[in-house]
Amino acid sequence: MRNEIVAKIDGLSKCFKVYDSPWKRAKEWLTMGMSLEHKDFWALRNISFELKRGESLGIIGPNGAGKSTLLKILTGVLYPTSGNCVVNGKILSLLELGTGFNPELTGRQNIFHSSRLLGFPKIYLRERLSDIEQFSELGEFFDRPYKSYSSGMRARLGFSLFAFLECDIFVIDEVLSVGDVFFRQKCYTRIEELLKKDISVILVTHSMSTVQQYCQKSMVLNKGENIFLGNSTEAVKHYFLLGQNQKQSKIRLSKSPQDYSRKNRKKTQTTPENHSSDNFYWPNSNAFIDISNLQLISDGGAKCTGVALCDTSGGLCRIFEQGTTAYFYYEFELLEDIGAPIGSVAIRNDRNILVHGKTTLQLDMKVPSFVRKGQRVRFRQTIELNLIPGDYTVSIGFATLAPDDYDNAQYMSYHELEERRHRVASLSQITTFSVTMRKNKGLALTHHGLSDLPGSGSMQLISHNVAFNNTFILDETD
Amino acid sequence: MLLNLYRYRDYIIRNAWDDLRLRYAGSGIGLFWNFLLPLLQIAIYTIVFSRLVSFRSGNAAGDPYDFVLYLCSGLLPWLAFSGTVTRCSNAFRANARYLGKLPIPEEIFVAQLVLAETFGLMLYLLLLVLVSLFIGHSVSLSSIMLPIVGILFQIYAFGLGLLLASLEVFFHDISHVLRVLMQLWMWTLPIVYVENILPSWAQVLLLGNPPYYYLSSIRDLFLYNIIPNWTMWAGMGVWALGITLIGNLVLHKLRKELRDVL
Repeated sequence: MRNEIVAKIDGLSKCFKVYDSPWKRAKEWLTMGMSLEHKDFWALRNISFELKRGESLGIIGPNGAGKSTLLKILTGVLYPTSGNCVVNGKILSLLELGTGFNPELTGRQNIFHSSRLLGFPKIYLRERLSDIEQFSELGEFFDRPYKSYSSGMRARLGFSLFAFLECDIFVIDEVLSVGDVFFRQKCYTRIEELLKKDISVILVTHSMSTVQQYCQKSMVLNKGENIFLGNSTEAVKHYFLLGQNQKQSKIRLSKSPQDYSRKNRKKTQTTPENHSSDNFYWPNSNAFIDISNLQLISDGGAKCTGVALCDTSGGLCRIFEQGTTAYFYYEFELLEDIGAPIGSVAIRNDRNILVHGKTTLQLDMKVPSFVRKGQRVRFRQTIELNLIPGDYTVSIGFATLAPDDYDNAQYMSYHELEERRHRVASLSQITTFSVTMRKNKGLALTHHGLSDLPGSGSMQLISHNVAFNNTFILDETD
Repeated sequence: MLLNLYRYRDYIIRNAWDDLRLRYAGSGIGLFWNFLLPLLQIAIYTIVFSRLVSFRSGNAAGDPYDFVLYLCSGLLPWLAFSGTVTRCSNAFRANARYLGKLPIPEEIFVAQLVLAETFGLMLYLLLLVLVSLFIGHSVSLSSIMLPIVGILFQIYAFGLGLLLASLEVFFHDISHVLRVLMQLWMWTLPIVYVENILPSWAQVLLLGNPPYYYLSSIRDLFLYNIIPNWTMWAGMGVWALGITLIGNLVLHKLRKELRDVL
């Protein structure tokens, strides 16, 4: 059951015929194809994948990559030009949710109307109607005309209906971005329930954290081609590399290093001495992790030459007590000249949620304004593991900014910075480590929940007897 | 195709009903407009042709209502037919939001329109009978066969609608040109005028004009208590089935490309 393949796409391609005008089409038809008047537009080229029962697949890619076309072929709305698409079982699609609803009808009537359209019998729906009504949280609006709904309500109605219809594959296309946060959480819980019930899910979204959290594997589409298929975290990295290849390659040292050295710099420095100081600790070789089997995602600008995870003593460590400090050491060797280097460490939990990520830019340290080909950059980052006990994975990244941008990073908006930052290389899921409860000092847990947030507390006791008006101040805890 | 129509019968019937119901949604008497409008139409013809203009239909002996009944029994079915075909002609594009997102068979959108319009046609025929009784004419017993002819006429409309809707997705002009063509088509048929004023060669040509079979059968049944002969039945059946087969064939041929364009 579990390993049963519910959808199999094999060498699928889709070509749209583009005609300049209807007359051109008429001419082609009337000449029985003797005079070809159309241009081919390939929306998908040679896509293959398999989806097993209970598996979740993410599809990511820039706009116009062919994601919707692929979904439409999967759901049977469009027909492939070549290749095979076999779906075993019922497939339900949330494609642009709610467009099938009639504004004049009430929510309840629309639910019946849409399910008829999807081919579900009335009795089937009657059994689930109260569930749907409850899930949608629409209250009295459930019996009011659809046209009086807010956009959030429309999304709720749509999702509620689809979440309770029986199917083998559930296709969700960028719809959960609407609605308030409470409803979104509910939707994701529902998706998890569906996955547990062995329903396969295909998720198309621009939210990278969603993909990493819910999808066992992901596919990156670009201009109709499958660029990557596999682990979701890596897929996301591939996706990010995509965006910058088009516009960003020129950011690398457009000026010669000498141009930069003339200026008075604040953070980036052209004199390399500062960065090779003797007190820079570097663990010995047995602390390093074997990364030869890991796939480095890179634009070719650098390669990773070592990663180590250590405790305060400087030795290899995989189990940390809550609140202790982890030391991350990593090194990249440059294959091309770049600007100011930025390293980053990301910690994800067992559900692939990014618990903490920090770049050296955020650490506000001094860096060289450029790094030459052949040089190696070593990073050392410390992170206090104020996390809930559990298993975590480590990823590292290497990026660069033009020296000018690096100095002015604090004045830039987030999006500006994102656009200028060039991702050079990244390595995901390098190693796992565990955070455990504290054994020897104080309480076993310093906090509840995912992470510890700095805070303090105080308490006052009020009695009927005024004399006992003492204030107890609790010590600040980290 | 029949299988698809059967599978989605719930949806088709429900939508046809909604179509009738919601067409006048928000108006004071709602659904009742469906009855009132054709009745008013008949009333206007009655007043114009019995009081103001004095026409004589072919074998009328001078009764002013004769021409009214002659006209209505031809014009009302024709209006239902041409309305059906015109509406069907852009059925696919009008429902692009469904066809572009759901793997549902295209023909159900044509079917739902035809069904709603068939209801309208039946209503016309019923009103015709009622009005005829009201103005003191006896109604022939053969009139009970009117619905059969009406249904055949609408099957013919369905086939034509299927064909046009498939083509219209690629050539939007069709639905606009059709408005004019339907007008022209009406004047090639003896609806407003009487058949025997045509020259004999034109009367022969009528046999190649499909709606003639249905319209003349309706008149025979309603006005003259004549049950159509087998050539008429065969004509009606062949045209209805023939055009439906052609429409279905064209739709099948174009189905893949049609979805791409929507």
